[in-house]
Amino acid sequence: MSLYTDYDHYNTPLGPDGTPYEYFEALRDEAVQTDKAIGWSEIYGGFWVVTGWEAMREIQHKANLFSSKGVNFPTLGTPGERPLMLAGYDEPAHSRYRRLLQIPFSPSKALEMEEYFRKDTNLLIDRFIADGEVDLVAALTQAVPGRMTAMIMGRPPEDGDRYRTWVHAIVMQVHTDPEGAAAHVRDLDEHFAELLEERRSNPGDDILSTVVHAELDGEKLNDDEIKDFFIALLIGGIDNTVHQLANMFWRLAWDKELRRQLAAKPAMWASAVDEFLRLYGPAQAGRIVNEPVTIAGVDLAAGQQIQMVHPIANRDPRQFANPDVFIAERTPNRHFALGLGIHRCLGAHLVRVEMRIVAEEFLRRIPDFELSPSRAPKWTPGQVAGMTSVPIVFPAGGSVPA
Amino acid sequence: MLQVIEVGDYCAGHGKCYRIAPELLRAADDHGHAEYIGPAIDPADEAAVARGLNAINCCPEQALSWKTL
Repeated sequence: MSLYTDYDHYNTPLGPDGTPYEYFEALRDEAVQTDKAIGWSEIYGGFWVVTGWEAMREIQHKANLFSSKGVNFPTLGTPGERPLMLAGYDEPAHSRYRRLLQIPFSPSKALEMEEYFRKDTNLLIDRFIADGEVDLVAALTQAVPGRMTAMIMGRPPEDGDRYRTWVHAIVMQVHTDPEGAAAHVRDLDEHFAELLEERRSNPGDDILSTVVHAELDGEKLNDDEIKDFFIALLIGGIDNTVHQLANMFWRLAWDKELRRQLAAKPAMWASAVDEFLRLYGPAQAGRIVNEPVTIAGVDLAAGQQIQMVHPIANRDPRQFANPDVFIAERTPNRHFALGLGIHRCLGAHLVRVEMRIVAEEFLRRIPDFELSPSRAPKWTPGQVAGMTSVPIVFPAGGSVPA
Repeated sequence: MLQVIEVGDYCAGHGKCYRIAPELLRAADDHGHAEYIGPAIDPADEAAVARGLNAINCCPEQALSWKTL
């Protein structure tokens, strides 16, 4: 039976290393051997699973044929009936809203964040470096994006803890504990109402103030639109980045040779970040077919759901030589981890800086570390998948690399 | 014939080209769209052509190409 038939991104089989990458490679191998870049899954009432690099590129470039209203599939957790701001919008509404946030997420603004990330990473490392063991997700990879998101909202970094809790409630807890999630969403609503009032009367140079006072076609955004931006910034800034950083550190924890290469040639980080994104990018994206179209020899019917499995397309040997090998200086490296076309990740420039600086500072302070022999890493599947726990051990106080 | 790199409509502002070849390309706007700033390249200059090809090949959108002057 084809591996496509049971494909379910919320229930991906885990291999001996606790991740689904072995399964992704197996599905990739089947897709290549059978020359099926797109296959049919029977899960959730049936949907198309896209695994081929070329097919995925074509779909993302033909945004008029594929609606982003199906970006989350099955539709899970986003409050209200409105689509997820930006990611769930089609043209022309998508570009209309997106241009409001281009300046805060521009390449130059991202580079201006370097010093902030350096200081914040060190502040967090100071809290556990003497211990000799830590769960990197709890202590670092959750904290950095949460605190950064709070900061760009004009809030103290400590608010990042609450923001992470709310994101978890929206994207995960709503399925396992709906009442608990609802309580968190009420907290979010209360906080947002206060923040909105404050930014209206006392605007700062933060992103939310930008959105609150922006005008589109001569009109200010209404409260729902502003709230949708707020939630999209929380999810985009926290959920994806937490998993991306966690997945990167999981790899670094067991790959001493890679750590040695990066320590010997720090300039390699510029390209290595993209290799981490290619192999360990956490996000997948859905679309709904707008009109009948044939992609990679497969006839797609209007209204059908498709799911683009980026981690598999990013391992397509027809695009990437030795696709399962981490090649820090891989070039070209045309992966899909940050999306393509009009939906290219708004925070793409920022997340590259964030990954590089957090890793550089961590490896400078704690160059020698490994996965804990007594506590296994934990993985969560889904639309945004990745490590939720990466326990490591290291010489207390850090160490000097050999 | 000298050549330069043409930035096509598919450019979505990933910024990989100007990180790889900052002497040839830069961000033209807040979105991150690329703009060619390098000199015209002589096809006989193998090193310059290789740098240009690196930039062209890295684009996830495949939005960059050679343009003969």
